[in-house]
Amino acid sequence: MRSMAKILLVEDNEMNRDMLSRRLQRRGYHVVLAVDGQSGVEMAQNQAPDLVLMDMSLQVLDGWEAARRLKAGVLTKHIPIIALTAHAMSGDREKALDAGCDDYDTKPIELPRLLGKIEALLRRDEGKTASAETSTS
Amino acid sequence: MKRKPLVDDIEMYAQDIVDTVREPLLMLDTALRVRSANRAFYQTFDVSSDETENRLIYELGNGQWDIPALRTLLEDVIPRSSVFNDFELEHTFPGIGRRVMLLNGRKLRAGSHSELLVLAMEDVTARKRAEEALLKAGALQSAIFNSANFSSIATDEKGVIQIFNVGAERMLGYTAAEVINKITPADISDPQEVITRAKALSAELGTTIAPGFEALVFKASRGIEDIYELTYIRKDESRFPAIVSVTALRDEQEEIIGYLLIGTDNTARKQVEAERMVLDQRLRDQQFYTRSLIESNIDALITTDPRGIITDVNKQMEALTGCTRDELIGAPFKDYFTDPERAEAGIKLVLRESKVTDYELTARARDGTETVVSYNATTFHDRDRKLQGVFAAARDVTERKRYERSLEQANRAKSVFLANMSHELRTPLNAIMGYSEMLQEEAAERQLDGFGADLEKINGAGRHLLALINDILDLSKIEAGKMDLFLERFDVAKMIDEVASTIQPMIGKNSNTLHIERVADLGAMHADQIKVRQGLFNLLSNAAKFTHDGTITLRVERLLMEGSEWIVFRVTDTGIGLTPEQIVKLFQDFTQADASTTRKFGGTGLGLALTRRFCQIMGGDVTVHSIPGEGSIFTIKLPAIVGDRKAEAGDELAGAKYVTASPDGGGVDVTEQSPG
Repeated sequence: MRSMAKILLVEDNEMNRDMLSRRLQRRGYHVVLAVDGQSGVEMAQNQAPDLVLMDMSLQVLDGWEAARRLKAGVLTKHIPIIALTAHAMSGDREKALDAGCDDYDTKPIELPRLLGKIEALLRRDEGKTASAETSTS
Repeated sequence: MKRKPLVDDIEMYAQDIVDTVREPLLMLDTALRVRSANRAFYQTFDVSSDETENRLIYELGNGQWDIPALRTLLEDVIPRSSVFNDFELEHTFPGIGRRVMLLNGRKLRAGSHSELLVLAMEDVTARKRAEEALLKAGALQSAIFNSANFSSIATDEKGVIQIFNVGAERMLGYTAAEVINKITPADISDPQEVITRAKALSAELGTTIAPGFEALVFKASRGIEDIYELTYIRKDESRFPAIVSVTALRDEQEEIIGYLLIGTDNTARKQVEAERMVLDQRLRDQQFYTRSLIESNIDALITTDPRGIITDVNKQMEALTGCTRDELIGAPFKDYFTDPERAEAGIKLVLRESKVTDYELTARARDGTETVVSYNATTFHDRDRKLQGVFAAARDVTERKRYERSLEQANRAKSVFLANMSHELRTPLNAIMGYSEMLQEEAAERQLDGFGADLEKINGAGRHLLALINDILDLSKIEAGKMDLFLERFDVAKMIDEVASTIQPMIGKNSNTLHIERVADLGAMHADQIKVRQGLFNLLSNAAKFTHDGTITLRVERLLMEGSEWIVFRVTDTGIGLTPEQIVKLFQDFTQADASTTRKFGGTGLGLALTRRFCQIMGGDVTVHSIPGEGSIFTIKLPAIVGDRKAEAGDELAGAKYVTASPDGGGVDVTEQSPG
C-alpha cells in the first residue's frame, strides 16, 4: 500500500523538518528523519526507505556528497532521491542531477507539486523493486 | 779630290790646335764631310775615328747627328756668313740622352779654292738645367711669395722683419714699409699666447725661453719642425686665428741668418669648427634629452633587432631583470621571462602586426623575483623605411592584477552574499508559508472555517513576499552579472500547457477566459526553460490582473526571420490597456505603469523588467502594443536556439522597439531607446 511508503527526510532546518514531516505524515507517509548528511546516509542504509528527500544545503556532509554516496552504496543505490534545492542558486539543479538525484524540487515547498514527484518516483520503482524489498513497512 | 799643299799645311796646323782643345771640335769640308775630329769629340760622343772620318756629318753615329737645327745651321746659316757663335742646339741623343750644346763655327779659307769649316761645341746641359731650375724655383717662389693666401714674413736672426709679402700685408693690414726693420712678428701676435707658448716650450724642452719672438722660433732654431696656431693682431686691432709654419734660414756655414714665418688665415676653418662644435653640442643635448626621457620612463623600455636580440634598455629594465645594461644588450629578449616561448611569440606578433598591446608576460629577474608585466610594442624603421627592430615597453601590472583580484574577490563575495541572502530570506519564509499551509489543512480537517480565511491571508502575504524576494534576487543577479542561462531542449507545446494550467486560477479570478492558439507544429526550443516559463507566466498574469470579464489569448508560432528560427509568444488581452506614457515607464525597474496600479493590482512591479532582461539575455526581446481602454498585446520573441553565453549586466539590445497606439486606434511603429 502506497500510503505506507517510507520516506527519509534529510533536512537540517528544524522548522522545515517539522513542517514537511508532519504534512507528509498527514498524507499517509511514514517519515523518518535525519538532521545531516552523514546520519542521512547511515539512516538510508539502516532504514531502507522507499524514497529520500534530501535538502541540499546540509551540515557535516553536504547534500550532493550524501546523494553520491547513496547512489554508490550497494544497499542504497536503488532508492530514488528527490533533491530539495533553493531557488536562486545557480547550478543547484544541475549539481543535484549530476550527483545522481532522480528529481529535484525547489523551496519553498509546494506540497501538491512535491507529492506529485514523490508519487511518480514511487510508481516507477514499484514495477522494479519487488525482489529488492528488504524493508519491513 | 786632289789636296793642295797649302791646304794640307793649314790643315795640319789646325789639326794640332784642334787636338789640344778640350772641347769637341770637328773639321768639315764644304761638302760637310768630316775631315777630322779631335780627341774630345770622340770622348764626348763615345765614337771611334773610323765611324767619324770621311763621313758626312749626318751619317755620324748611325744618323744620330741628323738634327734639323744643325741642318739649318750648316746649310742656311753657314753659306751666308763665315762665322757664327753661340748657336744653341738641343737634342736628345740616343745613348747619351738630352744635351744642350752651344756651337761656334768658322770658315777657314785656304786660298780662294777650298774651304774648311771648324765646328766647336760646348755641352751646356748642366748649366741649362740649373738655369731652368732656377727659373722654375723662382717662379714658384714668386708665386708663393705673391700669394694673398699666405703671409710670408722673413726676419733677421733677431726677429726684425725684413720681408713682408703681399699676403702678409693683406692679412694684417700693415704695409711692408710700416713693419720692415721696425717690429718682430711677436709684436703682431696675441701677447698672452706668446707668453703661454714660452711657458709651454720652457716646460717641454727643459730650458727657460723668454716670452717674445724667441718663443715663436725657438723650435725652428733647433731644427725641430714647428707649426702652431697663433692669433695675429691686425693694424686695426682686430684679430684672426692663423696657422704659422716657421723655418730657420741659414747661410753656407749653417749659421742662422734669419727666420721665415709662413702663415695662413685659419678663420674660416675655425668658424667651421665652432659651428660643428655647436652642432655637436646640440646633438649631445638632444641625445641627452632623448636618453633622459628613455631613462625616466616609468616602464621598462627595450629595443630589439628583428631577430629578438636586445639592442638597448633603460634602467627600469635593468631593475626588472636584475641585470646590467651590458649584460642585457646582445642577449635574447625571451631569456628574461618565465615563458620564453610566449615572449618570443610576442616579438613575432609585433613583427607581423606592427603593434601589440596588453600582452601579458611574467618577467624573471636574476634573483628569481617574478613580475607580471603588460607588454606593449611597435616596430620601428629608419628613414628609408627599412625595419630596424622592435620597441617595447613592459609595464608592471602587479597593482592592476591585485586590483583585478580584489575585484574578483568582491564579485565572489557578492555571489556568496546573494546566495546566502537567498537562503536566509527564504528559510523563515518557508516556515511562514509551510506552517500556515499546514494549519489550513488541519483547520479544514477540523472544519474550522474561520481560521482558514485568516490563514490564507498569512499565506498570501508570504507568497507575495516570496515573489518579491525572488524578483529582487533575480535582478541583483543580473546586475552582478551572475545570471546564468541554463539551456536545455524542451517541447514548446508541453511547456505552454504547463504554464496555462498554472495560470488558470489567476485567469478565473477575474472571470476571464484563456484561449491558446498554436500555429502549426511548434517543435522544440533550446533555451533556459525556467526563464521562458517565467516570462510567459509574467505576461499572462499581468493580462489576467488587468482584465476583467475579458479574453486573454496566447498565440504561439514558429517563424523564420533573417535566416534563423524564432519562437513568438503573443499575449493579447481585452483589459484596461496602457497609455504611451505608461508604456515608457513600463519596463523600468520597480515601477508598474504607475504606483497606484501596484497597490491595486498587486504584483511586485518587477515582473516585466525581469521578463525583458531574461529575453534580452537569451537574444530576444519583449514588445508591447496597446490601446487604452481596449487592451494590450505583449509579444515575446526568442531564438528557437539560444546561444550559450553568460549574461552581463549591461546586456541589452539597443533600441527596443515599442509600438504605440495612435489616438484613432491605428498602430504606429515607433522606435525608442530602451529606458532601463
